Amino acid sequence: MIAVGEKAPLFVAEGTQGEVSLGALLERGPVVVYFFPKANTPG
Amino acid sequence: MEFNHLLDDFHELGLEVVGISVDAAKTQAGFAAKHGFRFPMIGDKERKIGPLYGVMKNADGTGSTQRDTVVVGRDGIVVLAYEKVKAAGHAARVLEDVNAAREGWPAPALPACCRSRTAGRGSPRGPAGGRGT
Repeated sequence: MIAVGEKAPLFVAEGTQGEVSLGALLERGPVVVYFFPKANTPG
Repeated sequence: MEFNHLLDDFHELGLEVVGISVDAAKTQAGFAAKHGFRFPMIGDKERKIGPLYGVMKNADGTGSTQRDTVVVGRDGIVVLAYEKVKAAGHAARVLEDVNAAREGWPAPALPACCRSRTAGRGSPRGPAGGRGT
């Protein structure tokens, strides 16, 4: 897994609220990116 | 989804939250609507993002994404990383760590900032990852 201190790979993808661009979000502030295994699971 | 419950707290600190799984966009849209998630979620069915972050369950990039979280600073550098977490209490823990670490943001020398800022409390895993006991 990516480690603290490494550059986060930028991505642009279609999301539930339209296009999500990590680069664009970072211009506004820090971003929490959380990965989870499957919809309808806890988390 | 505990991140949804704590979303206002994250927003207050100036952070946005993005959730990613390998579900089809349609499945995830239903999931988000059902639970009223207020932050964007990405259905990475083609597994374009997970492998970039090394969060796939299988080394060859197949399978689902693990329950892993990163916090990315404004400079694009990962400032907090959590691998294979349990859902319960996780979002609260991230919020707590962000609170502890953010004073130094967006300082370029993040490792130094985080070492001092998080002293005396449970620190997230560093670059070496969790070490087995």
